[in-house]
Amino acid sequence: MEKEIISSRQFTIVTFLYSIGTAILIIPSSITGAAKQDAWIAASIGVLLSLLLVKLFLTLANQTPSLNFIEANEKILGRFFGKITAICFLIMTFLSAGELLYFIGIFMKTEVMPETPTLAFALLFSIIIMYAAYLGIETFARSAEILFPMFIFIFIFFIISISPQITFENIQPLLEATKTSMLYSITRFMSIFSFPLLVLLMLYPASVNVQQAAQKGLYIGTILGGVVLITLIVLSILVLGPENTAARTFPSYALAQRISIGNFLQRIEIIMAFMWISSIYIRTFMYFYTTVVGLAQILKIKDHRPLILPMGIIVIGLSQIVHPDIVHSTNYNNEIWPIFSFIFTILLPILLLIVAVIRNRKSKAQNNETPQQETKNDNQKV
Amino acid sequence: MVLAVAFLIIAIIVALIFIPKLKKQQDRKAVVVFTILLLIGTALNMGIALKVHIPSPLDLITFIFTPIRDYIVSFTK
Amino acid sequence: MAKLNWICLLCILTILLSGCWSKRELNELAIVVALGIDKIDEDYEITVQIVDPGEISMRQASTQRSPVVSYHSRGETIFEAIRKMTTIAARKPYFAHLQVVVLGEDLAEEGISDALDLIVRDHEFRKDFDVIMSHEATAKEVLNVLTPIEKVPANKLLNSLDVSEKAWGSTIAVNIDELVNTLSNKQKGALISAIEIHGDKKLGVDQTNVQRVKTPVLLQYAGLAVFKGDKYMGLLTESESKSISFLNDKIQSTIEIIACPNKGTLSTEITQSTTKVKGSFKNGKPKIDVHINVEQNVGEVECDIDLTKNKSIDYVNKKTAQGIDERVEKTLEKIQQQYEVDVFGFGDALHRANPKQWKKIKDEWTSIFPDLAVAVHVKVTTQGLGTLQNSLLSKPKEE
Repeated sequence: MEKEIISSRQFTIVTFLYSIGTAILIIPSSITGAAKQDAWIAASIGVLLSLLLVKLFLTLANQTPSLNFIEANEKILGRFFGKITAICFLIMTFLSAGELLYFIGIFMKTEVMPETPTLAFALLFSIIIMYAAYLGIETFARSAEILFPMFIFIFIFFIISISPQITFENIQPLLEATKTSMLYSITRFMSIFSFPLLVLLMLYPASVNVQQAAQKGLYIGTILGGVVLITLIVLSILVLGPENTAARTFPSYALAQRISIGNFLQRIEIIMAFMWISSIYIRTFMYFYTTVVGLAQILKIKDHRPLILPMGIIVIGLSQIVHPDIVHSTNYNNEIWPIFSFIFTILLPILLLIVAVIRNRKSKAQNNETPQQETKNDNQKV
Repeated sequence: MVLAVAFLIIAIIVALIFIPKLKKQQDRKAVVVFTILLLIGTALNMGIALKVHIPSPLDLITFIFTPIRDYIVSFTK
Repeated sequence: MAKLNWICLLCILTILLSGCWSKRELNELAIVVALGIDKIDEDYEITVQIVDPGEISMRQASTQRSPVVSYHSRGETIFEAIRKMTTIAARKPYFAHLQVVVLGEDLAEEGISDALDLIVRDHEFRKDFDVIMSHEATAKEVLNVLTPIEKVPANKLLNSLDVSEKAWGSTIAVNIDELVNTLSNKQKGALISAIEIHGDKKLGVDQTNVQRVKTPVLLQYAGLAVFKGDKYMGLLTESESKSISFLNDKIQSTIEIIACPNKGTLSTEITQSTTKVKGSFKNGKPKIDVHINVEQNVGEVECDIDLTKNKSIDYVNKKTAQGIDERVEKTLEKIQQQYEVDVFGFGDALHRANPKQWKKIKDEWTSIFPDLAVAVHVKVTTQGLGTLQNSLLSKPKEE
């Protein structure tokens, strides 16, 4: 299978849409519950800290240029341990793919079509994901490029339409939240926004044509995604109020329902839902693609494409069993996911980085000895 | 019931189309992995269609990580 | 080969896109425009006002049938009553176009939170309708009155509420989201506009009600109803309701009447009014400052005041300010002493000003509120006199 290359601009767009992911739907509710009207401050701090995370990921990726994350695992930690950590990582992405498929189903079921079984949504969505995985990363990146301007356009329209309904009192008083609640909010925010950025290392550096621009692209994509999320959280608090935001299952949808311009442009929230479906599609694809390609690479299978179909079938099944109801999903995302993802998206890369740096130092030291011996011989010869 | 049978039929069709293709490519590992994954997927989906109660793998993760979570939370109290 | 793929793709798309799982055709829907909730003994009685599309339509000739139909049903919970309604109604009620919810007075006296949960939770109820209360009538009776000019009475209820909020000020259009926010805020009291039926209730249901020049039965908004927690406490008079609108910064335009220096009255039309509520803590004691800024024009002159003199304008300003101040303070007193509910959001203002101090007194707010010191400062400026300078009819005395 030939190497697929995506441009750095495509990479930036993918990062942007990927980081927004499901955060745009569930984050406002969970962090406003803890930090109340200071949730936007928690989000801003989270975005800033995420940049540090991006630096960590980039440093790790640069240790193994031309290898993606799964191959890097094996190279750095050796065949046995590398395989184990890679498999654990793949379990995480596989379960996340199933979770996201469940999520699109429950979102549609709650707000739009409550009588439709979630299996129908999961089936339709997974057909798209499987076909995208079959066509490869290049096609996927191009599809992201097409979705991007539509996303931006709808987002700006959304902000402009909802602004007349802002009441500034809703965001006062500032800085009332306690440090503990801020800590919880920041952690939950980052666990859904930035911890999963590690998965993007499957694309970088192996599949990107210009390294430097792609690095900048990762930063820019993260910042832009953060800006979108912070804007949305601020708008939710300003228009709906902190208690209302925290009480709703999907505050951004309630926000979109409020759009009413001149008593004429109303009830257009389903167009807003296009934004969310796009960002969920990007994220679900990345998780699914990572799992399939990673599995193929660990088992040393040359072509990952035949595996797409059975994996897709499993993911559909997974989406139905992974959360029996939305309460289970909310509790899991608030309590367990931050810890689970922290271990595999922060501790694992740190471990890999340390080992890689040590190995590089060792091999540099070995390289330093052999040239000196050769020059001595040369000198003696002469 | 109908849904479960539908899944089974789809799985059989998939198997019939893809396995010969893979066998031609001489990649034994791929065939084995493909078959295993297909079996797991079909069994899972048939179980769901037949309303068999399959516990969520996230419950296992929750079970493993709850002590860690309680430990961390006790720091912030 | 590519063509075959395209054809297959189109075929698959047609199958997938051509229908929804839970589709409802337009002729299966009964579009509900108004919902009335009453409490009778332990049950809820629901009244839905459903539009008869044929009667509203511009193109078809109107038969003698009424433009709206109302159905009632009883149930232990509202959800049950709504589903039971399918035994009477020709179609399943569809609530996405709901314009107004009328809460019966008896329900309001018992508490409205339980009744509102379905409305907020269900996805079919959008959050863009208003809530009103029926005074000295049940919601059922209110929704059975046909109104002139507006074929759909629910539209009349909604429009009248909006327009009177903008032009008179004795009503406030309360959106369901706002209401729920206020109800969930334990330190704030809710206000709902109340509607009354004038005339013989039994006649209102007849088509003949709208076939006369003078409609015998009319729906009229009577003022604001004060709620403590979620229970109805009492109804305010028109002038008290206007003062409350002043304090809540909801006045957009209204009129004020003042007495002239000699006999007669002068009416001013308020064109702009902004109210700022500032909370502060002095020695740990809470204090509220209300600044009302009013811009007005002279509207109606029924006395012989000489409006070309500056001091007359000063007089008008002063008198209007005095009038507003007096009425606002009287209303404040009534709300603080008699009802003891913070309907103005003074608690929130204190919270915004000083969160730490607020936290200390938050739990005793209901006992602190009656003694809360509120200072009202009214500033009035008169911009214009209309198109006349001095009244042609009441000539000022030559001085």
